[in-house]
Amino acid sequence: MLTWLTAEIQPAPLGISRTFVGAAAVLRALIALPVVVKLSDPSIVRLPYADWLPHPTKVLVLTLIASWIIFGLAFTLGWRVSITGPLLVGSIGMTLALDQQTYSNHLYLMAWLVLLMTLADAGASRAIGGSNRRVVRWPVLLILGQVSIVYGFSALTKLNQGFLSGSVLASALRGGLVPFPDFLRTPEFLWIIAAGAVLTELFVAIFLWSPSLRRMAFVMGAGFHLLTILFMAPTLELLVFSIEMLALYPLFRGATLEFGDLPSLDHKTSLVGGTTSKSTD
Amino acid sequence: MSDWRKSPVVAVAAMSLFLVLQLAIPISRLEDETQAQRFAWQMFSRFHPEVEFTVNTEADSYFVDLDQVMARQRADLSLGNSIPAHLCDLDANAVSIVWESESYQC
Repeated sequence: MLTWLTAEIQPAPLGISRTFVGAAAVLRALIALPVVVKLSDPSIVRLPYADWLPHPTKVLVLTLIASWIIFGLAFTLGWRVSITGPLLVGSIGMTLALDQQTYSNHLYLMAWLVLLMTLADAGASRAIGGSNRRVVRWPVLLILGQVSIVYGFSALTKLNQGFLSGSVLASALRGGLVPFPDFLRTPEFLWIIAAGAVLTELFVAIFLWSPSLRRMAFVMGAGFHLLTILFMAPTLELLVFSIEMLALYPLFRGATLEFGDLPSLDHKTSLVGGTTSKSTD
Repeated sequence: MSDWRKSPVVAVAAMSLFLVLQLAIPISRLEDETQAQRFAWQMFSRFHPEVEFTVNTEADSYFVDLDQVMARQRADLSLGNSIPAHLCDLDANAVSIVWESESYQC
């Protein structure tokens, strides 16, 4: 098992995922800009996590966002990811730490993804100056674990009366690109959508790991994200979240637990090479 | 390829730390069903009624547009702890702030 975890896999899917996550990070910086600039206004309430944290002056927040964009672009292009990745995580982390009002789940997710991608050596492929070197499997598995954890907990936390009754969706299905039809805004239909959302998230969380059901999970996940972008708000933030998650789906194909690839304890040494070559599609 | 990534000890330690953090935090925040929690992947999961703040002065009273005093409204923020004092600071004539069934004397 340890041999399988530390085996090398093809770097290309990770490089592609890094490109999309980096681009989403740059787009997210532009979304964060008006919020953090507003924080520097004295008439705006401050909700700091701790009193010793720096006051968000205009110079500080503009410097922070500029750094975020620069490091995000470098990360997207794969330029010195081992350096620009942690710097990007630092920029996002500082923004999150500035004030409770800057928090969002997909921004928190972005910090984790950039950190994990840096750990996974995501600059090994599709990168400026990259040598297309192979990457180790276990950090990529952490990224995949992150995907399942996000979908899984998102589904579990929706198992409450407010969500399943449709009342959360009744207020959430507003302000999207496409107006949600009023004739569908019935308790029965909203209940069906609520239950469908929970089941879809659970299905995707589990079956992206399954070679036989992965394609269906991919389609369901993509459809789920498309519907949220179309019918819910804030559209741009949901777009960023969708890019973050969908960009990671292809990683499941090359790095997941194909049980036939697991080296047996008896033939560990002889199967190591086979493990690497089989799972690097 | 950096050698440290190929170390089984590093792999087990990093994966264990990641799983502990990523499971313990969201699980510890599952209990509170009254309000959405941060760092727990609770997206669009809780009903969040809008809170209206009223500023009372000696002469009159008025509702507060929270978009004017907040950088961003979120379901996971506890506004009662900080908004009333801030509203008192903003309006020198404010006597009290009322929201839901609570009030705050300036």
